[in-house]
Amino acid sequence: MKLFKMKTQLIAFAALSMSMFSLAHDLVPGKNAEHPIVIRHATLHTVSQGTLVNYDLLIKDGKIAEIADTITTDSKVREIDATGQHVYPGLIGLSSTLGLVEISAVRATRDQSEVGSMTPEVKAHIAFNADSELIPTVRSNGITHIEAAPTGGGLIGQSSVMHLDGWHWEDALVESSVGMHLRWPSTGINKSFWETRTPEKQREDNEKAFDSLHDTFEQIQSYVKARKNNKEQAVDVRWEAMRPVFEQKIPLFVHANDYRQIAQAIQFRDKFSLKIIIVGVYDAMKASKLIKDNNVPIVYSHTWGQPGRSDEAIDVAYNTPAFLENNNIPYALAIEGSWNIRDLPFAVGHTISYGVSKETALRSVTLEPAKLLGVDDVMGSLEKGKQANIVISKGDLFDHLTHKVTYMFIEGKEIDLNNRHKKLYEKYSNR
Amino acid sequence: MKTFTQSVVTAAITLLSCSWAFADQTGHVYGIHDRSSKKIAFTNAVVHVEPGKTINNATLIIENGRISSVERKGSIPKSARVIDLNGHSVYPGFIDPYSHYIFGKSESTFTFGEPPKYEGDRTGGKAWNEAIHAEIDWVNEFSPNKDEALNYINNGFTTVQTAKLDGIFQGQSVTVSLADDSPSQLIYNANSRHFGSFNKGSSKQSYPSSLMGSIALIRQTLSDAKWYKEAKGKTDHLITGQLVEYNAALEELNELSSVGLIFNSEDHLSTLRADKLFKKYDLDITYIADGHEYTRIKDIKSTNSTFIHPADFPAKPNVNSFEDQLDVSLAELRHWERAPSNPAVLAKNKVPFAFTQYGLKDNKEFWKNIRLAVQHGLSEKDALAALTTVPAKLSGIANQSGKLTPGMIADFVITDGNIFADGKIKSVYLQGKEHSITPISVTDFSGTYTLNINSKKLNLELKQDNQKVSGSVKMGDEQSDIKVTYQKDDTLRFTVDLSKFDLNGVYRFSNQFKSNALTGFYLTPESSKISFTSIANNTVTDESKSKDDSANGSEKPEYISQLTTPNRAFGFDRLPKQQDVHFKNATVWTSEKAGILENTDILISNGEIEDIGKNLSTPSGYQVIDATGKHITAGIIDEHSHIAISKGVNEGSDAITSEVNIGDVVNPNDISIYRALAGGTTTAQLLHGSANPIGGQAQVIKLRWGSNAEQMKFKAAPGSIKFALGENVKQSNWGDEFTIRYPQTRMGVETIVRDAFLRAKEYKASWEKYDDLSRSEQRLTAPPRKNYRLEILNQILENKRFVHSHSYVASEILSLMKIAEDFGFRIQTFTHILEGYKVAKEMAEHGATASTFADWWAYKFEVYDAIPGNTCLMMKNGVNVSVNSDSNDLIRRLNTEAAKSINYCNMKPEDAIKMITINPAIQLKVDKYTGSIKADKHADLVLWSGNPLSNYSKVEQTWIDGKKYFDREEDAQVRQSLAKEKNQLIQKILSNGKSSESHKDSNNKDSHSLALTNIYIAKTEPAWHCEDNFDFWAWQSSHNKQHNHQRAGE
Repeated sequence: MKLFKMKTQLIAFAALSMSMFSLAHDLVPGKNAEHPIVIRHATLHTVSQGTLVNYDLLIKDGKIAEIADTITTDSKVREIDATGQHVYPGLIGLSSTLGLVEISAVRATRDQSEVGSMTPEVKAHIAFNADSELIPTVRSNGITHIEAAPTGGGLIGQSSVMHLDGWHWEDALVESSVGMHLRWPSTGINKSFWETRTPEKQREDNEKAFDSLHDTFEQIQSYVKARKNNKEQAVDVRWEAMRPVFEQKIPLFVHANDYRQIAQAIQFRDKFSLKIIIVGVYDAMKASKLIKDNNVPIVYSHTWGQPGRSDEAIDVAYNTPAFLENNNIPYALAIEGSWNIRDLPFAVGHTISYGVSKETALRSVTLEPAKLLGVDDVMGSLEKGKQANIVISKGDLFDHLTHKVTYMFIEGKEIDLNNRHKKLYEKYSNR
Repeated sequence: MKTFTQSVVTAAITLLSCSWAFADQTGHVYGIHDRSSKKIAFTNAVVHVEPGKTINNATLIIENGRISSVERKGSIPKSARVIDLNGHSVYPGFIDPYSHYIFGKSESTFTFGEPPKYEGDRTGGKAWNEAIHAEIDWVNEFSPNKDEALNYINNGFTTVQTAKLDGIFQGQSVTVSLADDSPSQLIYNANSRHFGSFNKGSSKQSYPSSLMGSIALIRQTLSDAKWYKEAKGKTDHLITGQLVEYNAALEELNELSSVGLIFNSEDHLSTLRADKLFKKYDLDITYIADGHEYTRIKDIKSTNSTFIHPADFPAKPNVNSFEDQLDVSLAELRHWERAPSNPAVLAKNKVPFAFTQYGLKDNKEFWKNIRLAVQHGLSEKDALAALTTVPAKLSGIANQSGKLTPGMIADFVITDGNIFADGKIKSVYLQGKEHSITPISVTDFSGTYTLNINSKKLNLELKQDNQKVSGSVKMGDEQSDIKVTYQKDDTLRFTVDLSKFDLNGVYRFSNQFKSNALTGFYLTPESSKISFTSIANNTVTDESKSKDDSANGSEKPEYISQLTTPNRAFGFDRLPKQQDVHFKNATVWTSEKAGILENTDILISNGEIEDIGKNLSTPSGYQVIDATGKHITAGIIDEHSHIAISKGVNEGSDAITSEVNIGDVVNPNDISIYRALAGGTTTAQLLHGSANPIGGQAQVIKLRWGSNAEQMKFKAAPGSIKFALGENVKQSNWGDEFTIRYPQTRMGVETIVRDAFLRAKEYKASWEKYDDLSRSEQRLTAPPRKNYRLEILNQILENKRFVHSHSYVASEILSLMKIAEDFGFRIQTFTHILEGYKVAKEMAEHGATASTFADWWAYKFEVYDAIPGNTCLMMKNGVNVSVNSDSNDLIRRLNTEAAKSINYCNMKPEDAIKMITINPAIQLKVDKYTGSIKADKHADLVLWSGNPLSNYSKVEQTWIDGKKYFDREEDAQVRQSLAKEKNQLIQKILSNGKSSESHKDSNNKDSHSLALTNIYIAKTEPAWHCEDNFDFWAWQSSHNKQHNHQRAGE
C-alpha cells in the first residue's frame, strides 16, 4: 500500500515533467479511471454533512461511491493517501466569462457580449472555448465548474454550466441554458467624475430605461401567451428564448447592486411571476429585509469590493457575507470575470476572515451555486451518488499560505493540474 | 435687415446721449447741444460712504456724473434737482470683478471619438498653443449690451471687469460701466487684469489634456515670456540656431507683473497648486473661490491672495426618502450646512475677497445668498467691502469707484432699507443716470383714517408693502377690502363696496397724501362728490421694516456638522500626534537580515524607531501596546499607485511629456488614502500613466491623511519619472483615430526615446556654450530658451532623477536598458514587467529593479505570457522585486498580493514581506528612511492581528512617523458618530421645509445639486489607472455644454 502510494506520486510527477516538454499544446483532458479510486485518511469538507476528519472517500464510475471512516476495497483500486490533506467538492464559479474571452483587449478574442440591449436568444456555451489557455490556470486553483455567462447591458442572454475539462464545448457542457441574464437599469445618481449627465437627465434616463424594460416584458408576456394559445403565432427567436423564464423553468439572473434596483427587481418578479436570482447585490445589507422577506436567492460578487459610496465604511463590502449569514440569508459567492476567477478560493478565505463560518463560506462556492444552477442533485457537496468533482489540497484551500492543490477530479477523471504559467515557469527556470 | 436693426440701435443710443449729459466728446454733436442742469441733490438719505462709514440724514450731491459732496444735512444748491430719500439708503455702486459681460464663455465643440489635434493653427503673433491668447485686449472688442447689463444692474452692479472666459491665458480684461452710452464713455480701465484658468476651453489642440499638463504649460509659457523679453532684438542667434520668432502672446504676458491676473482654478486645491506655480514669478494673482475654502483656510490664507467669491451656495440635498438619500454623501450634507459660512470664514481670517455673480445660474439668488452669508456671520462691513472697495481695487478703479466720496463717479444704489437685511433695490445710478427698478416714493400711506359717511364712523386701514397699498374699511366686526385703482407718488385712488355698512354700494375715492393726511373726495354710489380730509393715526408698523437689522450678523449660526480635514467622512478632526510607544511582545517581521523575530519589543520615539529587542523596559512616558499574539511589519510601500491624483493621470497628448509633474496635482482629499492606510500602506509612489514613452514626473508620498498636498510629499525621496513601453504608448488599444502620433511601433518607441535624450544633451550644450560667452557677447546673443521638458531629461542623465518604466515584454525591456547604457544611466525600476522572468539575468546585470503585479495577465496581448512565478524567477536571478497595486483596491491588500508568490512559486515568507516593504523602499531610494524595522528609521509600522501574509489577518493599526493614522477600533467608533451626524443633518434639512429639489421640480427647473454652478457638485475623482488616457478639459467642457443645453431648455 505504501509502495502504491509512492508509485502514484511518481507517476503524477512524471506526468508533470512530461508536459514540460509538450510543445505548448493544450493539456489532454482527463480520461475515465481504469479502477476505482480511494482517497484515504483525509479531512473531508462535505458541505452537506459537515467536516469528517480522517475519512476515506471512494470514487467509482465517475461518482462518489462511498464515504466512510474506513473503506475496504479490493486490490484493483487506486489508493491516494491524503493524510493531513483536505478534500473539497470542486468549486463552482458563477457568472463567468471564462472560455468566452481570451484576451480582452483583442477584439478577435472577445465572444462574451452580443450587440444590442435585448439578446436573450444567445447562449454562452456556443462560444465556450474549451482550449482556452485561461482554463487550466483557473482549475488548478480548485475550480472545477463555471456558469459560463454572457455579459453586457440589458437582457444579455443565457448561461450554461460547464466543467473545466473537455475536448470542446459539447464535451464540457454539463447543463445548457440554466438561466437568463439581465442587467438591471441604473437607478441611482452617479456623481462620479465620468458622468456627464445632470442628475435630472440621469433620473429621466433611469425612468426611461425602467419603462422600456417594463414594456419589453409586457410584450414578451403577451408573446408567451400567444404562443401557448395560438399555434399560428410566428416564432420570434428573442421572445421564444424568454418562454422558459416566463414559464418559471429557468431563473432570471438579475444583475443588480443598488438597493433601488433590488427593490424594483423584486416588484418585477411579482408582477410577471418570475423566478429571479440577484447577482452582485452590493447593497445586500441595506436590502436584507427585502431579500429575506421575499426569499430571493442571491449571488454576492463584491468580496473585495470598495465602499460604493464615499462615506461608507472601509469594509462594508467585506462584512456583507457575515451579515447575511448572521441574518440567515443564504448566498452564493462569485467573482465575475475570466482569468481572475482563479481567486475564488481566496475570496472564500476573505469572507471567513470577515466573520463567515467556514461551513457557510465553503457552501457559498459549492452547494449554493449548484442549487442556483439546478445541478445540486449531482454536485456541490461530497455525497454518495454525486459526481466525483473533487479537489484535494495539502492545506487549507482558502489561504495563500496553505493552498496547494494536489489532485483534482471532474466526474471521476483526474485532471492535469499543469497550465501555461507553470510551463513558462519551468521553461525559464531552465534558462 | 441687419443694417436696419443696427441703425435703429444706433439711433436709440444717439437719442439717449443727446438727452443726457455725456455727449461723444471727440465726435460731432448733431442738433441742439444739451446743456440742462446735471446737478442732483439726494436728501434725507442714509449714505454708506464706504464700508464702515455711514452718514445718516445725508445730502448727496452729484454733478456731471460725479459725486460733488456728501454731508450730513448738507445744504442743497439752488440749481439742483432734489430727490427726497427719506427712509432710503444709498450704497456705492457694486462692482463685479469677474464677469464675462458681452464676451461670454467658451463653448466647446468637442465630441468624443474625434481624432487628436497635435498642432495649433497659428496666425499673426499667436502662441503655439491655442489655449493661450494673452495677446487679446478685450477692450478692443467692447460694446455695451443693454439686456445683458440688466443682469447685473438689477442686483445693484454698476461696473464689471470683463473678458471672454476661455482658455488658459484669456487676454487682458476691461473694466466698464454698465451704463448705456457710447463705449468710449463706459471704459473705466482699458488695462485691467488678465484672466486665466487651467482649463484650455475651446482649444481643440490635444495638449494639455490634464491639470498637470496645464500647469506645465503655464510654467513653460511664463518662462518663455521672460526669455522672449531678453532674446527679442538680440542680433546674434548662434545658440538658438534660428531667429527669435514674433510672439504677441509672450509679449503681452510680460505685462502680468504690472496688471496682475485673475485666475479661475476651479477648486480650492487647485488654487493652492496655482499659488505654488505663480509664486515663483512674483505675480499679483486673484483666485476665484470654489466655496470650500473654509475646509483648508490656513492654506488658503497662506496664499496671501485676494479671492473672488461667487455668491452661490448649494441647495438642500435631496433626502426626502431612503431611496433619495442613497445618492447623498455626508460631504455634501456638511457642505450644504457650512458653505454659507465660507465668506465669513475668509473675512475672519483676513483673507480679502470680493463677491461676483459669476457662476450663479439665477441672478435672483444673488442677494438671497449675500444675506445668507451675513446670517452666517459675515459682517455687513465686510460684505459691503466685498461688493465695493475690494472689487474696485481688483478692477483697477479704486480711485474713482467703490466709495461715495467727492470726486468719485456717481455710481450708486438706492434701497428702501438695509440691503443686507431686507432692503430692496429701488434705483441704480450709473454715471449719474437713473435706472429705476421700482419708483422711489417717500409717501407712506399706511395708517388708520377715520371716514364719516352718512354719519357713520368708519375706519379706513391702509397698509403698504413694497410700495403697494392695500387696506380695508372696518366697522365693528365687519370689514370690506378696498381696491386700489391708481397709485403714484402721493396720489391714491381706490374703490370700496360699503353695502355691508348699510351704505348702498360702491364708493370711489380720489386722494392725495399731504402732511400726514389723506385729502381729497369720494363719489357716493349716486355720484355725489364729497370732500374729506383725515389725519393718519396709529400708524400701522410696517413689519418688514421693523426688523432689527443688526440682529442678522450677531445671531450665531449653529452647525451640526463636523469640520474635518479633509472635510468628508473619515476626515480627521485633529491631526495625529507623534507618540512615544512601546510595542510589547510581538512577532516582528524586520525585512532585514534578522528576519522574523518572535516575542520582540519595539520602542518608537520622535517619529523614529528607537530600539528593537526582547523584554525591553518601558521608558517613562511611553505608551505601552501589548502586541502579544500579534505581528508587526514595516509600513507597506507601493511602487505604483495612482491614488490621490487630481484631474488626469496621463498627459497623453504628446509622446514625451517629462515637463508634467504628478507632484503638482497631489489630491489630499482622496478617500483612497484612508482606505489604503487601513490595509497597512504607508508610502506610495504616485506615477503618471502609461500613455507615452516618456511620461511625467512621479511623486512619492507618505499617506499622511488629513494633511495637505505638500505635507504628504516624502521630501527625502529623490525625483523619479515614469517611462512607458509597449501597447499603451503605441496607442494600440486607443481606437482607429489614434494612428498618427509617432511612435506606433516598438521600433519607434526606441528611437523617440533616444532622440529625446540627444535633444537633452544638445540643450545642455547650448547653455554651456552660452555661459562660456563673454558678457559683451552675451549682450548681443539671444540666450537659449529654458526648456523644462529637456531639463528633466538632463536630470536623468545626471543621475538626479530615476526612471520607473512601465514595461511588459522582453524585447522592449532589453531595448530600454540598452538606451540607458548608451546614455550612461540606469533604469531604476521596471514596473509591471510581466515578462521580467524572461530577461531577469540581463536586468540583474543592468542593475534594474522590478515591481510587478502578483498575478495579473491575459487582459491584453502583451500580458499573455505573464506568470505569477515572475517574482520568484526574477528574485532568483538577483533582481530586487516588489509587487505593486496600480489600483486603489489592491493598495488595500498588498499583503495578500505578496502572499501569492508563496502560493504560486514557493517564495519564503520573509522574502514575500520584503516585496512590499524594503524592496520597494530601495526602488524608491528611500530605504535609508523606511521599509524595514531597524533603529533610527522612520516609525512607519503596521500592527497585524496575525501573520501579515495570511488571508485571515487584518491590519489593526497603521503608524507613520510615529503617528497613528489608522486604528481599526477607532474607525469603528468614528462610523457610529458619522452615522449620527448624517442623520442629524438630514433631520435639519427635513425640518427646514421641503428639499429644494422638489421645489425646483415644481418650477420645472434643474435639480438641487446642479441648481447652481457645477463647482459645488461633490464630484469624486475616479480611481485612476495607468491607461486612463483622455482629455480632462474636453470632458469638462462637454459636461458644461450639457448644462448650457439644459439651461436653454428651461
